[in-house]
Amino acid sequence: MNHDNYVIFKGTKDGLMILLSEELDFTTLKKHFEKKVIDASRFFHGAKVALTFQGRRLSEEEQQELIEILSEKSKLDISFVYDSEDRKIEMSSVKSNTEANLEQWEEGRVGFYKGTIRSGQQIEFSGSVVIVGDVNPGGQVIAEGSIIVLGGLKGMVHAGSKGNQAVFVAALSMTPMQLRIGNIISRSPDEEQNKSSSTPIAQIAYIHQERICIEPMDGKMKNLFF
Amino acid sequence: MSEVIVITSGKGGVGKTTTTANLGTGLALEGKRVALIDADIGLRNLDVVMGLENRIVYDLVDVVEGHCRVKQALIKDKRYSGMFLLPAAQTRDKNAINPEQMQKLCDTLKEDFDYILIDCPAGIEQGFKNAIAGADRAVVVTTPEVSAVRDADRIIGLLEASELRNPKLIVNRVKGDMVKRGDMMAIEDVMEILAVDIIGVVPDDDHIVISTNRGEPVVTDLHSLAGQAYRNITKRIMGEEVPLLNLEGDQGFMQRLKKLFGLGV
Repeated sequence: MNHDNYVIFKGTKDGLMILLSEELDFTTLKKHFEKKVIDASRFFHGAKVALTFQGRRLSEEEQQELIEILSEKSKLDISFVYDSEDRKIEMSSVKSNTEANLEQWEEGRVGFYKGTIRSGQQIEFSGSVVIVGDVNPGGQVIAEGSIIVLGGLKGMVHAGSKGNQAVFVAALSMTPMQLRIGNIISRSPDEEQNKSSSTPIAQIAYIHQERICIEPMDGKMKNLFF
Repeated sequence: MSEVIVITSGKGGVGKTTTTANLGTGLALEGKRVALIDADIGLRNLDVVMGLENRIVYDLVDVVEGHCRVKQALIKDKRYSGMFLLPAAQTRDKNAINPEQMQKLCDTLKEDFDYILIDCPAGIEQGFKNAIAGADRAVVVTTPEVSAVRDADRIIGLLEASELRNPKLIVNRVKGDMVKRGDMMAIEDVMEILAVDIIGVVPDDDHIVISTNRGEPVVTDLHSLAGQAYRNITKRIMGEEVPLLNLEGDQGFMQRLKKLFGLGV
């Protein structure tokens, strides 16, 4: 195989496909990859793409390394990453949106997790995370950014785990065992709430005046925005 | 096509062994060839519940360590044709075998049996890992108590991590009248947390205690509601569709009539 062919970039209708050779060990492949990215960086400049890796099984760390090289060495704005089986979709808005009014919502990398976080399971993420499913009692979600649960939040979540207080936790049904934002911890009241009889409403939790506030997501969330 | 099904729960005392004995007997009554494996090494119970304790010569550890052939250790239950028990060792502990050995054993048994049911020990340690190693499917037993449901949730997570997806749920020891009064978790509450398919609801039934002490699985008792529940689960395991038992007390004639016409109750 020609040494130029270890890494091939291909434009597809959905975005950018990167064909990786299976012959090389990962470290060598990474070098080839980096060189190729630098060569092509002028071409990529500022483009917004969805990314697919093909031709080689990548572990999550390996894939992450390649994405980091790509976003560092090129000015590429990666909006989606599909893995080789086309199933997991990771969104990482590496470069920010330029619109000024969106700047305060800059959340860095955003991860998606599909499925129920069960008792004893723990998800940790260096950015913000969206859980498409429930967080059951005994389950834990820890993120440096915000946490959104598209389901019932019944376990423990910690948003802003590195001390960031300007983050929030939102859930379709908010009955957490314990809620941590930044370095503030709160727990649900001991007396049982009159639960589930009415349809649960989505709620959002954030820090206001050094306390965790929870309020329904009804479009009047004043404190959060000011 | 033979299947290995592990019966597990996380928490102890929710009825894994009773469930294993009843489902095994139920399947045997349906004419299937069934092997029951007691994986609870050191705390064996399944032989007692089956009333076969006095016939143990060799056990699971003997088979795995090569002291005897599998066929020598299998105890034939004379009451039900086609049913065999592989008892656990009582003098050893869970570390006496490893998951690879268990898997090999399951593969061997698959050649001779339609169903292999494994009675898993409580806990999530070595014994659990051994028990699930050779399984194709998992049945999770829980009771309508928060502690049992919490442990079942943990177990389902661990099963999924071990590629045993879509485990089926049995809710055991449901007291219909207590659920009706709101003093016990309803099946819906359990299912809302665990979010897996339910394969059976077994009522709390005094017949279970009687039959367990006698060593005759309740599934053979045609007058017991729990027996009926286990017969239904047996059918569902074989792939038939059977509606869940109604445990919330007898319905009045009008209610039944309304339900019949789809008016709800």
